[in-house]
Amino acid sequence: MLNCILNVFLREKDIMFSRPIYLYGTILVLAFCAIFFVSLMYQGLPQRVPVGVVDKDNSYLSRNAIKQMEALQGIEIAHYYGSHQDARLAMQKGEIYGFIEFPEDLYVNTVNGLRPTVPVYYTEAYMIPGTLAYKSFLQMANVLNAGVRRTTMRAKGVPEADIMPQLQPISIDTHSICNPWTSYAIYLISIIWPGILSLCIIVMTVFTIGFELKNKTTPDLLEKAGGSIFNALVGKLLPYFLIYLLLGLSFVVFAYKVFGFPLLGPAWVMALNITMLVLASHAVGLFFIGLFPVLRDALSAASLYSILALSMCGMTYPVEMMVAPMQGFAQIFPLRQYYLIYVKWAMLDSGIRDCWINMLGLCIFFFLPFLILRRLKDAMINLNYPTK
Amino acid sequence: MKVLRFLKEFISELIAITRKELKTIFTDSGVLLILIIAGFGYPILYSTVYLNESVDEIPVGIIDECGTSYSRSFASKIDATREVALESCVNMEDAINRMKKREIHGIIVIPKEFSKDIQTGKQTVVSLYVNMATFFIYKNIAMACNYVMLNENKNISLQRLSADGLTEQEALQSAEPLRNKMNILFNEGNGFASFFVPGVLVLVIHQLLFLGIGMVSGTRREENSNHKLSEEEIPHKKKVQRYIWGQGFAYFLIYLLIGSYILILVPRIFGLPHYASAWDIYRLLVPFLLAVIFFSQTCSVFIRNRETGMVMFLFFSVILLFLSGLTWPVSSFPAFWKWFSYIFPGTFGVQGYIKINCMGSDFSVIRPEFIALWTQAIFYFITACFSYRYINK
Repeated sequence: MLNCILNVFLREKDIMFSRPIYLYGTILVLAFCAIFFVSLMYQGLPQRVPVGVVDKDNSYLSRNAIKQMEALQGIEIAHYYGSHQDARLAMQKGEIYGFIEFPEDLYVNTVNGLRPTVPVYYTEAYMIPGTLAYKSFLQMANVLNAGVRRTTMRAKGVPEADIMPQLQPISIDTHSICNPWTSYAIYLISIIWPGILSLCIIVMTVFTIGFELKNKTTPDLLEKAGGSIFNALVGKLLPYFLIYLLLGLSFVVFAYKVFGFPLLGPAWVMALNITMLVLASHAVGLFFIGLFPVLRDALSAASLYSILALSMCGMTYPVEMMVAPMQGFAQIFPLRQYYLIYVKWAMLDSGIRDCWINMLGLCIFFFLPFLILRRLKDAMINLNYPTK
Repeated sequence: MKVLRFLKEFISELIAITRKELKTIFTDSGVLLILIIAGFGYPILYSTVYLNESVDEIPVGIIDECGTSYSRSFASKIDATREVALESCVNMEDAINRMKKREIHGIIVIPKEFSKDIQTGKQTVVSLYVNMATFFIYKNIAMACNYVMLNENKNISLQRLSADGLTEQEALQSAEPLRNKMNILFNEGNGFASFFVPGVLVLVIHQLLFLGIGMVSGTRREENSNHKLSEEEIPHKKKVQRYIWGQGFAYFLIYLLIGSYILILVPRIFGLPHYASAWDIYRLLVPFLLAVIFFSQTCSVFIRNRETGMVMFLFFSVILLFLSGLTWPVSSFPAFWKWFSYIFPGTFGVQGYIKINCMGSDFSVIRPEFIALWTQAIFYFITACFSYRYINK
C-alpha cells in the first residue's frame, strides 16, 4: 500500500512541475497575500486619518482647539474649508472622513456663558476611518471643554490634584483582550490569511483531480495506485497537503511567535487548528469533485462556495446577529469552526472543555469524502461524465 | 457612400460576432452558472447575510462589586443603550468562563469604591474587558460604554456644582462651556450592510465578468489545437478589433441588464442606500463595464484552459475588496499599493458607486473616477488588441 502511495506521489510531483499553475496556486498566491496584507496594514490601525476644519471664528479658542487636534495621533488636518458646503463636498470626494465646524462668535459666546455648540461631522460610509475620526473628535471635544473648565478652576484656586477627578469623575479603562493595541492588522490577518489558505486548498484539490478526469488520465492514476481509490487520492493529495501544511505552520510561527500576535492560550492550539483546517479543506474539495465529477461544474460550485467563507465565519459581522437561516448556513464552512477555536481556545484559553464541539465540527468535514468515494471511483474508471 | 458601405459592413459583421458569442455563452452551462445565475444569486445572498444591519443588545457581563443603588443605576444606564444588554455575573471567574463559552462578549467591572469615590471627589475607574475578535462587537460595546460614561460625568459635575450653590444655568455653563454635537453624515444609521454591501455589489460584477470571460476564452483556446482565440483565422489585422468589439458587446448587453439589477434594483429591495438616479448609475456603469470587459479580454492571454482563470484569480476578489479602499482607508495605503489599485476598474467602480449612491453626491463629484474608468476602457481596449494579436499570431 505504501508503495502504491509513493508511486502516485512521485507521479504527482512530475505533474506539479509540468505547469506553472500548480506552483502558482500553492505557494505564490499565499506568499503574495501575506506580503500584501502585512505591507498594507503595517501601521496596525490607520494613522492620521485626514479630517477638515471649518473655522468661522478664528479666535484664540478655535486656534487652540486646532492645535489640540494637530497633537492627536489618530487624525491629521488635511485642509481648511471656508464653508460647511465645501467641507461636505470634500467628504463626498473622499478627501476627508470628518470635519469640525467652529461657529462664528465661538469665543465671545463661550466667555459670555452662552454655551455655543461645536458641531462635528463624520462619515460611516467608510466605517473604519469614520469611526477613528469620531473617536479623535470626541477626545478633542472633551479636552477642549476640560481646558476651559480647568482654567476656571485654577483661577478659583482648586488644587491641581483635585482638578482631574472633578473633570472626569468616572473613567473607563478599556482592556482589549489579546489585542491591546486594538490593531486592525492583528484582528484581520489572523483570520483572512487562513481563509485564503482554505480557499486555495479547496479550489486546488478540485482542480488537480478534475483536470485528470478531464484529460482522461485517471485510469493511469488508479493503475499506479494498485486499483485503490484510497491510495490514489492519498498519494495524489499528499504533496499538496505537505506544502499547504508547511505554509500554514509557518504562518502560525510567524504570526504568533515572530510577530507576537498575543494569545492567552497555548500556541500549539493554533498549529493543531490550522492542521485541521488544511485537512478539512482538502476534504471539502474532494467532496465537491466527487459530487460533480466534471471539472468545470465542480470548480464553479467550489469557487462560489469557498469565497463565501470569509463573510460567513463571523469575523466582522457576528454570526449570532444574522438572520436564523444564515446562522445555520455558517456552520458548513470549516473556517467558521477554525475561527471559533481561535477565539475560544487560543485567545481566551478556554481549554478543550468549551470548544470540543468545534473540534468535532472540523472533524466531521474529514468524513465528507467517504460519501462520494464510490461515485468518484466510478467516474475515474468509466470516464462517463462530460469533459468539456 | 464609401463611409456608409463601410459602416454597414462593420455593423453587420459586429452583429454576427456578437450573436455568435451570445450563442457560446448561452449554450455553456458553466459560463451560465458564473455569468447569469451567480449574477442574480450572489447579491441576494450577500444582502441576506447582513440583513440585520446593526448589532444590538450584545450580551455583556457585569460584575458590580460596589452594589449600591448608585452603581446599579450606572449599570442600568449601560443596559439601556441600544448596543448592550447586561447579564450579571457573580465574580470574575464566572464572567471569564461565560466569555469562553461566548455567552457574553465583554465584561464590565464596577469597583468596590465606586460610590464612595464619587462622593468623596476622587476619580473612579470602571474596567471594561472586550475581545477584538469580532470587530463590530468590539466597536459597539466600547462606544456604548463611552457614551454612558461621558453622560454620567456631565451629570455628576452638574450635581456638584448645584450643591455648591450654582443655579442650573450657571452649573451648565461651568460643566459644559462648549456643547459638542456629533453628527454622522452618510450611512446615518451606522449599519453594516449599508457600508459593506454596496462595495461588494460592484465587485461581484467585476469578478463574475472577469471569471466568465476568462472561462469562455479559455475554452475557445482549448478547443483550438493551436490555442487561438477565435474559431476562424483572422484574415487581416483590422479584424482583431472587430472581434474585441463584437465579443465584448455580447457581455456588455448581458451585464447592462444584470448590472441594472445589481446596482439599481437590489439596493431598493434590501433597503440599502440608493440616492443616485438610474441615469447617473448608467453613466457610471457603462464605462465600468467597458473597462472590466476589455481588461478581462486583455488578461485572457494568461488563461490557456477553461478552468485556470478560476484557480488563478478567485483569491483576488479579497485583494480587490481591500484595494478599493472600502475598509482600509486610501489615505493609509503605502504608495505602491495605491498605484497598484489603479490597475483595476473595480477600484474606481466601487469608489464612484459609493459616492453617488450611498453618499448622494452629485455626479460632478465623481468626475475623477468617471475619467479614470473611460481612460481604462480605452487603454484596455488597446491592450486587448495586442493580446488578441499575440494569441492569434
